[in-house]
Amino acid sequence: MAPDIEVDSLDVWYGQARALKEVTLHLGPGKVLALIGPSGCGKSTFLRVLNRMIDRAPQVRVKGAVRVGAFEVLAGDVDVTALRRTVGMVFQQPNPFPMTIFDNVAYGPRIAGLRQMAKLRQTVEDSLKKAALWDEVRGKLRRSAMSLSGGQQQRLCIARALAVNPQVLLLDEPTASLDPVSTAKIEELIVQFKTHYTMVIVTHNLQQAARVSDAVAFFEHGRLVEMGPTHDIFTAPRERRTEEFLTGRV
Amino acid sequence: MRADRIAALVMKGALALFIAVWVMVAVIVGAGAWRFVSANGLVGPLVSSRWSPLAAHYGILAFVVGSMAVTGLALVLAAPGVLALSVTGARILRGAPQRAFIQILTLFVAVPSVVYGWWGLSVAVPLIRRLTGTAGFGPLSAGIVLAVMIVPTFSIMALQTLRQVPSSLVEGSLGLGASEDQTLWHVILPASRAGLSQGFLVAVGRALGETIAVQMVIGGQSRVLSLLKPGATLTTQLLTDLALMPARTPGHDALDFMALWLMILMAVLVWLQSRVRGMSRG
Amino acid sequence: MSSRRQFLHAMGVAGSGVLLGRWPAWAGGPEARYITIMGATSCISYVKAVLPEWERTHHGVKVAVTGGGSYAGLHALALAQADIAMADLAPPGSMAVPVRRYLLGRLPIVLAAWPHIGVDRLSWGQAGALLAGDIVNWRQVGGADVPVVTVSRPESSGAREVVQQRVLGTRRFSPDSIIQLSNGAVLRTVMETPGAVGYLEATAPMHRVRILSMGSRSFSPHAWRLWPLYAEPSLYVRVQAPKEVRNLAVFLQGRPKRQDFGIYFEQRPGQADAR
Ligand SMILES: Nc1ncnc2c1ncn2[C@@H]1O[C@H](COP(=O)(O)OP(=O)(O)OP(=O)(O)O)[C@@H](O)[C@H]1O
Ligand SMILES: [Mg+2]
Repeated sequence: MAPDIEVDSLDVWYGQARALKEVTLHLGPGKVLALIGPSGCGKSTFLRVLNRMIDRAPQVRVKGAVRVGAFEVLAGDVDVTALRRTVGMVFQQPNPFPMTIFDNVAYGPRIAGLRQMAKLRQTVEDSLKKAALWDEVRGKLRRSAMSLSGGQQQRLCIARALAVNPQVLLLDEPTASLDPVSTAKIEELIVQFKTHYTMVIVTHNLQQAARVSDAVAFFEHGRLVEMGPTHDIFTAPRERRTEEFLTGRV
Repeated sequence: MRADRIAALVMKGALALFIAVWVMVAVIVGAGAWRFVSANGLVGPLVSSRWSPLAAHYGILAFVVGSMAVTGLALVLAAPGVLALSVTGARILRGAPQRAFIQILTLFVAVPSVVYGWWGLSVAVPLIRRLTGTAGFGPLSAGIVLAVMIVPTFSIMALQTLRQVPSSLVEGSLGLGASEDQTLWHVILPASRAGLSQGFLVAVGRALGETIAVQMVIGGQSRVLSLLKPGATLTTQLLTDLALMPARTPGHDALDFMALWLMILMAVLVWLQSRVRGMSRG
Repeated sequence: MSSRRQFLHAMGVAGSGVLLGRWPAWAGGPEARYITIMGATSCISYVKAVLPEWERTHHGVKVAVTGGGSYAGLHALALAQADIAMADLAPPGSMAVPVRRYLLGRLPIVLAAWPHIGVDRLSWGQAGALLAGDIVNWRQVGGADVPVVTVSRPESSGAREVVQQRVLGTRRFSPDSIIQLSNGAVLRTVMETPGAVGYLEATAPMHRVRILSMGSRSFSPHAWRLWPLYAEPSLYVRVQAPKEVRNLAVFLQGRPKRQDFGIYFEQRPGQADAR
């Protein structure tokens, strides 16, 4: 069911500054792509194009073609709401809404029009189970989401994204603000999710990229320098710049 | 070192003055109100609307009800405007237009209340007159004037609160397929609740305490609530009768009693607000 | 520790200062002398207009003029908070302090109405019935078919007192009257509200309202002596007041300029340029 992603000659400008230059890549269905590269190279920008969150930036211009499954992402007539429900997003800082745990997870379905309490409950429980949070919050669903720890909050955000039945997950440095134990739990989830969801994850942690991804894309100055199977990139990169980055000689 | 000590001294002095003034106000109002209550009872004046201080009839019911009605009306009328202006200023405009918008709103906060009263005489009263066929003076006109008056203050406070909602929350909502409107209603406004209720209190305080602008259009009679006939509030009657009953005259204590009730109304609101906040935290 | 003591000290000083209201006394020093004039707003413009002339010949005396209304002025006089009271009313019987009155003249009070009521003249009985709310439509007094809206001033107003005694007698003002605090506000309300009727101190220009004749009399500034409805604005001074204060009251009583402010008086030969 998971869709593939195809990007062709993607250019992004913020005003006069060009953030992505002619990025072209293809990601197969159910695969995990890790985006790596120095700070400011355009990783988040790339991610935010995929669910059109990029639209929020003032004076932004996007050119090229992006397809996620059946969605022509950059087409003028694309249903952005449907796209965003299909393409879920998890951010660097856990960003639960200031409401109860239940309401956080139920937010997406409710927005989409689901009103039946029984169905909502079922959806919330399923999503929390998928995000491996159920055991920790069962019976406390009426508590504020703010009472959870950082790691729990991040898994809550994952559960919240899962509750609208996405097929793609975008994760922008999802463990950057978490401790090692919480990080391990999230990595475990990503590995479990493989084949069910197509995933793109931005990370500064190269070991993490090696552990969870099927493919790695290395960006620099807005260009896609190199993309290949994870094993190949880490053991035998084709580009000198990639090798320098991986060995810390940036 | 020296400058520090001077600054500290100035601050302490200011604080001391502030406290002293407040203590003085409380003592004067409290003492007058106490004398009034010992002479006239606590409940009697509250359930009577017969106000004829020279004949020793001190029923303030009409003024208490008038204050609450005019304030409530103003809030209801102001709410849509506040929402529209604060959302426009916080979430739609950006950059230079946004700064200009906020500056203009701030300018309106500084407009003195007589000017709003004047506006009321020129616009609100004739409007009500045309719509209802009455003389146009009454609590309804006063409510409109107050609404116009509190919109800038309330909007600015709401706007600043809405602006502070982190964009991560907004993107979290948009990322789940919510529209901008859904995000506004279900995330931005709830997340701003504390700041909004603060702005609400300030608005209520301004409305409840406003005197001259209300006096100019309310008509000035002790009547328990007819929106279209002359009425009065605690503050307008205080203003009207201060000339009739200057300090150390027999009726003057009644004015302190009215001032006390103004403070009580405000205290009830503050308390209600803290309850609401407590609930939202739980 | 010492800073806390300083703090308490500052608080004590500030507190007692505010409580006793002694700031002006400190600020002035022993040399400056103050005279406070307080009361009816109808006299303020006139008093302020001629004061500089008096102050020029009385160096070191500072005169402050404030409103507050006739009642407030008289009370302040009794409590020695003011040196001169301006009042359109006689001092209430309860006033214990012996005072001296300096009559300024007559302040005519006229009935004014919305221009299109179709009536020019009222009998005294009709005027009373209108203000009391017994006549509810101008048709009832031969005018247009317009509902009557009465406009009045608060109980502290001298003009209201005059109208109460001379026009209404034992009847009360209509409880539906619109109360406005100042003469100007009454003027504007009468001018703009269809069917409105109220009373004005005849000081300001009164075009765009209809000035009603009473019985057989019509108001005209030139024939003010014949107009039957008026207040008698006066200055009141405590009998034991210092010479300077009495001197100021006499000065204010003697300036002919007050006619420009609507206060009319008999000009006897020789008085016009009295000092
Ligand atoms: N909203 C924006 N407006 C203007 N410029 C922006 C905006 N967002 C990003 N940029 C610029 O675009 C370039 C790419 O930014 P992006 O956030 O995609 O980098 P990144 O690879 O995610 O960096 P990091 O690793 O630090 O998160 C940077 O130079 C950045 O300054
Ligand atoms: Mg980034």
